[in-house]
Amino acid sequence: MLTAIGAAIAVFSGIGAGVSIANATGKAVESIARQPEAAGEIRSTMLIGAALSEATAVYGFVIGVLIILFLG
Amino acid sequence: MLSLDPFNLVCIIVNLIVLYILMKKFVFGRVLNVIESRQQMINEEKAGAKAVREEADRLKKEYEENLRQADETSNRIVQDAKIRAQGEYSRIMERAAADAEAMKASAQKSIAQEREKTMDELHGQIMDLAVEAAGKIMSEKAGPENDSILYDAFIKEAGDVDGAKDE
Amino acid sequence: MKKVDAYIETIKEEMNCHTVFTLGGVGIKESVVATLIITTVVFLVGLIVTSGLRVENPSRRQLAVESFVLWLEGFYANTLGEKGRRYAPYMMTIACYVAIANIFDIFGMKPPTKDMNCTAALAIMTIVLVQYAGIRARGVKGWIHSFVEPMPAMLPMNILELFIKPVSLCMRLFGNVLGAFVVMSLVQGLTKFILPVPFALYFDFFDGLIQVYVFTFLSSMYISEAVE
Repeated sequence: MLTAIGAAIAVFSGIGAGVSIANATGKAVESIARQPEAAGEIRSTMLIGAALSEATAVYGFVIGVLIILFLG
Repeated sequence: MLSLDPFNLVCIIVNLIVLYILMKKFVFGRVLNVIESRQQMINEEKAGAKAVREEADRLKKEYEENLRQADETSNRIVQDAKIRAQGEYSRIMERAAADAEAMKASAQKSIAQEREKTMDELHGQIMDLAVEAAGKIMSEKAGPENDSILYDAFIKEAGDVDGAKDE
Repeated sequence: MKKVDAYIETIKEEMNCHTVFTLGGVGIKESVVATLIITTVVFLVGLIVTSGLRVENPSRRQLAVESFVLWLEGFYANTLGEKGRRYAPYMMTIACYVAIANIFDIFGMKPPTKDMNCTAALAIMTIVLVQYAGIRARGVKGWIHSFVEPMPAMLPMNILELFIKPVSLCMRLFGNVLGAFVVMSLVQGLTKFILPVPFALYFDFFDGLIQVYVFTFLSSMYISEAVE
């Protein structure tokens, strides 16, 4: 039971990733609307940023899996 | 999955290093070499084309120069010929005019001589006729009949002379 | 409940990295075998598509290969900077390998990047290459000096970074691929009919290729930082 709770808490790190990716995408849309000619560059930069922020969620996921596998 | 195994890790590293060496040598290296050599070839061709164009430009200039010179020469020749022909023409014309003048003069001269000769002849005949008529009158008796006969004879002879001259 | 238990067991089983065979008492894992397969395939495909290259009037295939290689080389050379350009072939090789490895699930095999040995190997290679590039570009003195830049107080942070960089590279790739793999096993455990296709498109292709991009991009950035 406690391990499940621990894993669930670890997966909370996904909140940060979700908020940050939403933020990045929103900003990217704004900049594309302002400067449509730079859309390609903005898109690739946004993808890097999204992938980097997603890493936090992935860390949470890995920790959750570790908890379940090693403590459960 | 989560356990690190040094032997497997080293295996993967060796594997990837071998892959890197092979790829660098045989795949990327080959492609990049081909691209580079093509670039080099293009550059060389560009340089060659430039040289050829310069040569062609030079030849063209030379040719134009030659053409201009030839033009000049031919112009000069034509000019010369024209001048010469003009001279010849006027010379011939002068000569022809002179010839014609001379011919005219000689013709006039011969006509005048002819006329003089004819006139002399006529004078001579008239004189002969007159002398003859005078002789006849003196030798024959005078009378109106004789007179008219004489006149007729005289006129006939003069007419004969005129007729002969007319013919 | 028994069905659910069996389902969980299969997924647990799937997630494990099995030992294929033992070589001299040491177990060789699936990821090593998969890496061997991938490297062989990548190299053979590379050899085949680059065979018969001509300088003059190239074929359509050659033009495609050339433009692909030029595009890849240009991208990494751009990120690596003028001084780090010589490391572009390494990045291209790693990109080819990781790209195939990430979408290996499509071919019905477990992706080797799901095993931490593989991502750890990639991360260790990258960090060693970064340090090597730093030493080569600035000399040993300059390399040591780079640890106290921009100020001596940053020394512990810089030394810590030496470990954080590979660990974050390793864990990012590993976690993403493992996450995608777990989601795919869950979906495939439910049904193998059509439903997994959109999931595979997103988790295997999109996420996998984005991770290739991120991994090589970050490695290139580390190298370009080291050689500056």
